[in-house]
Amino acid sequence: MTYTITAQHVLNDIEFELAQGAISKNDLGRAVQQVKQHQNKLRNEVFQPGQELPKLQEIIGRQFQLNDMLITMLQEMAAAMQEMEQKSNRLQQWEQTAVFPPIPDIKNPVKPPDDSIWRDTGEVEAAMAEPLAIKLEAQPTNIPLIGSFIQRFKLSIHALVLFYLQKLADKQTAVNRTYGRWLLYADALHHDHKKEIHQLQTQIARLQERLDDIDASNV
Amino acid sequence: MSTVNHTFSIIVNTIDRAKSLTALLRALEHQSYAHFELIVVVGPTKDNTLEVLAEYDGRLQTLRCPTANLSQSRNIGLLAARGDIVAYIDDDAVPSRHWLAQLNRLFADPNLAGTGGKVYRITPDMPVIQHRIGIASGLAEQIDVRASWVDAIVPDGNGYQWHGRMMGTNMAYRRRDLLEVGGFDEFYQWVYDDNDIALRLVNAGKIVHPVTETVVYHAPASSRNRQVSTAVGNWWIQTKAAFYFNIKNGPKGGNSWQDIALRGLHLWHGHLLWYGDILRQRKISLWQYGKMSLQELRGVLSGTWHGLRRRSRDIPAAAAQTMINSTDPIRPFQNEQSAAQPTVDPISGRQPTITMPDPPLRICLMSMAYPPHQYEGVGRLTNLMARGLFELGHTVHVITRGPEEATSFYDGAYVHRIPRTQQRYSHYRLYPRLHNLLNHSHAVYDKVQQLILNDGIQVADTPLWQMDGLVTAVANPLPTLVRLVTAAKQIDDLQHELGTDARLLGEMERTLIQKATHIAPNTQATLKNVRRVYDIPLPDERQTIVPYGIVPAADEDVRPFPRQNPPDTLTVLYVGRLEKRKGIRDLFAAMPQIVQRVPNVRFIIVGGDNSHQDGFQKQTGMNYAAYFARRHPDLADRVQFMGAVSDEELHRQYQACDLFVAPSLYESFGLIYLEAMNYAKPVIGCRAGGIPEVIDEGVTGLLAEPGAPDSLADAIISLLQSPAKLHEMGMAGREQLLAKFTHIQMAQRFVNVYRPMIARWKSD
Repeated sequence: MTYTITAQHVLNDIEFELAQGAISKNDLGRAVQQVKQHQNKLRNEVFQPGQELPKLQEIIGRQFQLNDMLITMLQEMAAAMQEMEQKSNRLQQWEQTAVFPPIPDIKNPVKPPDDSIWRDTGEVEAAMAEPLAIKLEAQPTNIPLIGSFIQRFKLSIHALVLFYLQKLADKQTAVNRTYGRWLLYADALHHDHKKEIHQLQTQIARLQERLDDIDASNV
Repeated sequence: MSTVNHTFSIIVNTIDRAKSLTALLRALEHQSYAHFELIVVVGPTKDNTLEVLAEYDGRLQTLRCPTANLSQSRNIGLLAARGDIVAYIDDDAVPSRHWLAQLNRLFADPNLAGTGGKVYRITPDMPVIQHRIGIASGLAEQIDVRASWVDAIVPDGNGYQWHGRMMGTNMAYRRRDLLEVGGFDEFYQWVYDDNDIALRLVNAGKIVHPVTETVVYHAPASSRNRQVSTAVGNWWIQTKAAFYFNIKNGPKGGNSWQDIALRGLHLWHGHLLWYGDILRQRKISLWQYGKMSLQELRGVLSGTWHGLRRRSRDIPAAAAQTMINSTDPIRPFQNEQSAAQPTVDPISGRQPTITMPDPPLRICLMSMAYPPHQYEGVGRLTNLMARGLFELGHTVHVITRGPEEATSFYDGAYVHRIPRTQQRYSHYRLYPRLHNLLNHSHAVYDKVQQLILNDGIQVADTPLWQMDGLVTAVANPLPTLVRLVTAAKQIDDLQHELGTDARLLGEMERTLIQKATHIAPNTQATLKNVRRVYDIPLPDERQTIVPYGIVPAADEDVRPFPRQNPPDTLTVLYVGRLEKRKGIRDLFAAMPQIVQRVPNVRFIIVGGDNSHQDGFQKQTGMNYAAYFARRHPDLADRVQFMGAVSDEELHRQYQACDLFVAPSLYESFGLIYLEAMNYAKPVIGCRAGGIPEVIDEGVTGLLAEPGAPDSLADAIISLLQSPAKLHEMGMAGREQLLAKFTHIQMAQRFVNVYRPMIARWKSD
């Protein structure tokens, strides 16, 4: 069948774009990746064996900064969810009022995109289950006579630092779990919305097929 | 909009900027949200600021600040404020119409302590976005322009505690929250005051959240601390403030002393390097370089010393508490006359001196090309409309294309440039004209949405050409007028463009006309032509013929034909692209007869060669000038081809000619005839399109038959042989232009269309 594009198709596409609202932003996805990279880099810097132990204040400072980033993302995610809900509502409304299909190629309805932002829910679950455990090993010293004394002293200092770090890590684990819960909740919502949009698009395609059949029978 | 109605105190801090302050005061009359008082805190001023303020006696509070200290001035305003929310704006900025209305909606969130929106720098020399959801660190690192909150989520800086930060010219705070943290730290006499207050609110557990809209237009003016558009300024005050800021706030955000010191040294070093650069570029003298470098050291020492002393100069807690408890009402700035005030130029403060019987309109014009960048007839006409509408007191916004998002103000309009985008309608990529058009038109629609939100535009006006307003007309968020000119379909038909792309464009033109709230052809001929091309019914109540107009030349620039003392050589001027539609070949063909009968004639041909596009080169293998040289070698010394020329040169040519000729086979209107009439030149055109509606035959010029060189030659000869007619018709043309075809009259005709159209759209 030869497909001729008409002004009506273009008009439908304009209306579809209008119903879609703003073009989908993948800022959030990029942001997640950036924070992840940043965290990996920090982890390397902080816990690299043989490196001098960073000050507690610095670790806390960095952790707060990460928290700020995560909070910002949650905030944006909440806004994105709201936007998606509005889009979904608009599409539903559009379905009730539209006469023609928005997509010329009705034989291949749009499939939900494979959204790479949301692939890593497994990692989130794993991170939630696993408490943060921090290990520090004191480097052996080769100084004669007082070497063992220095080693013991270093170990005791490390044990003290570890004690406080572990306390901090426990708190952070709780924070991580909260983030994780919210991320999973947001992910589930996101999938629900996508499914709904997909269903609506399939329904639209079916309606178009039916209209085509009617047109064909009229001819 | 929110139903919570907060009261606002707008606080303006000013010194020696009477001109820009005037613009701001006039612009505030147009705020859509009326529940605000205005407090102007005047520093040790030397200009006529107080006289300007005296004109508003009883409508605003004028307070004095004894020193040139911005934070102190801000605090003086804060202590006098009675509104729930205090909004700060600079004296060289003007707010968008819905600035306060949007802030009011944002502050409906009871947890919000501070917010502020986008800041556009609107001076035409450097239009940029100065601020959009900016963030700053505890080490005074700033990222001022971001696309979204997650843009630069890993900030490119060393400091911790990145927080939202508003620019001083567009920031609003809940008064109570601001007083609770002690207001502004008066150590900051200039810069970093906005950053510091945001951080202190954050540290006090309050929410500070800058937003993407809520726009302020900023036209930076020179001050005591800097000369705008130059490198000269008291930059050491920035260094002083930064050192103080870092030492005061850095540790609280978890920044180590080592990082604080490094950041300070980087900043200081950066300033010194920059001074070296501007010295090499001769932007400052060696003496200035030495002075500025020494002042830097002063800034470092002073900032460090005061930072280490940890004594911030805030509002005393008792005074703050008294004001928190105060429940005095505000004294509103606006009055009954505010709504009818004409618009204002935000840069010069100029306001048309007219009395407006009805409130001014807020109009959005669209044109893909617009001066001063490369533009064509539609761009020029749009510019003339903008200038005319401004003179009538209306606020004009123009949406056009540009390399990046920017807004500037010139020629009476806010010119919003939007970048080229290809992100939508990808399945039409095979049809590039349609694909470009749809994407541009959708981007225009997005901008329209922003302008509705921020500036409350009431009507959109799009040319049929390029269809900028197609998506807007389909979405219908406001009434849309379509200016009918020559249809693209008509030109495509002429040039035998038969592809799908051209067909779809034609169909979209038709759609745009159908979707428009109203159409405005420039002549009867255009209307008839569009009806013929598209075969669509156009009800009378949806159409109005609006002839165009131009800016009249000053009387002293007008050069009527000197009939008492005729020149030795008579000059005939042709202006227009060299192409078939403009009738250039008919003029070439008429020249031998003209030269034979009028031996002292010469021809000036102004306009770019379009022989490639109109198929002439394909047909003859030559461009028009080469063709003429080969065809009429004996006339070569009488004809001068000037190509495309600047506006100034074009006006010189109009002034210098004795007769103007443009034998177009079709013109929807023909602004060129008006341009010639402007300088009292008789004109000759063809009996085609809208030309007979512009040239009053026998009065302001003559009409020849289209495509008939003999008829054209007769007309030209008859005028060149009569000095009296050259003079009289020229003068009659000038009179008609002043009576019917000025840009102001054109704008008034458009306004007469817009008003009922808006009312009808609302009632529909």
